[in-house]
Amino acid sequence: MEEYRYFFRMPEEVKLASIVMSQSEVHRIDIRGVVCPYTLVKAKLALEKMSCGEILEIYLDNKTALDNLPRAFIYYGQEFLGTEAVNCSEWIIRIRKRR
Amino acid sequence: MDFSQEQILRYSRQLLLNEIGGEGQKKLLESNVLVVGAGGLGSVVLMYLAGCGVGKIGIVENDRIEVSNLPRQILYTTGDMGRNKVEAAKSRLNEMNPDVKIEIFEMRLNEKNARDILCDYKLIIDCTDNFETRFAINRLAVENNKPLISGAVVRFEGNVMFVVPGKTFCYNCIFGDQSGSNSVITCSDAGVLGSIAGLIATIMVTEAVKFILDLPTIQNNLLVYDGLKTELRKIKINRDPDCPVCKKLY
Repeated sequence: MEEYRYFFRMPEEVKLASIVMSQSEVHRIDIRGVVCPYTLVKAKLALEKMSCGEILEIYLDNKTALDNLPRAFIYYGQEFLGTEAVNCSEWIIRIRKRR
Repeated sequence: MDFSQEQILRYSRQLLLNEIGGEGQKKLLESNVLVVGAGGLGSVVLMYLAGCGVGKIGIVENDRIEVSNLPRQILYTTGDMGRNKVEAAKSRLNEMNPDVKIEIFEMRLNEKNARDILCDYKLIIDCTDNFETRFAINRLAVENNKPLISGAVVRFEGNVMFVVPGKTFCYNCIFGDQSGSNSVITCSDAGVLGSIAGLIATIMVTEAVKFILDLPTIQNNLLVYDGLKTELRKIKINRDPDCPVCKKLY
């Protein structure tokens, strides 16, 4: 139940991590134009193919996904590294695979 | 395994589950299950197996659809009356999910045909409606070393068990051979509420999906549901060391 509540709560305690990426392989997916929940499905499938420790950069333009993906991946036990705005309507979310 | 765009959409709600994801969905699509009986339990079991993308489903059934089937056998419609159940089931399931291969056997499972049918399947789901057939399927599953999920419903009650030959109790360990007993009742004698069949069937198919995904199942337990009291009990069962059906495996 605790996990369930956590999934639906925006984790304010999650700080945008200082990203140390030099040692990690970075994978990228472009899900611009994709709508929820397929944004998460596609990002999750991409992460499943990666090895632990590697980083996934998710290039997206869906504002709802921008809010939902970080907390969903935290629920899945992955590490949310941060969000970067590319411009006023496109962003990159970075997730490190932990399991 | 790379999924097609349609598969990503179709299975999206399962792909999102940590316990399934892409890897689990691949296991489901590559798995196979034999369903014996396409009546009240079988209708629901078959629909959810096909829906979630179990790659190959075998159906053993030799009845035709009657009007008295329709309140609980929700795979069929009024227009299907008189058709063979296996053929109606196959066409309906193909419409539901073209990813799934349906293999039909219009016959009763017996000693002579069992080995040839069972050898192609990893799991058997017994959805038949009488004790005699359930004992026979249990014996065939044990002899052929095939895991078996067995369910039964009557009136407002139902039960589910998961037999893994050589590991758990079998159907015969619990019920003994009552096939000649006058106390044996079937849903056609005693009546059954369709939704109880649906409830027991969804438990059975959930156990099947968990088995395919290597998740813990109800093995070693008997699950009993009482719909009038709204009570679900899980009862730990040990195998009978003198069971004539499964004792040779130990």
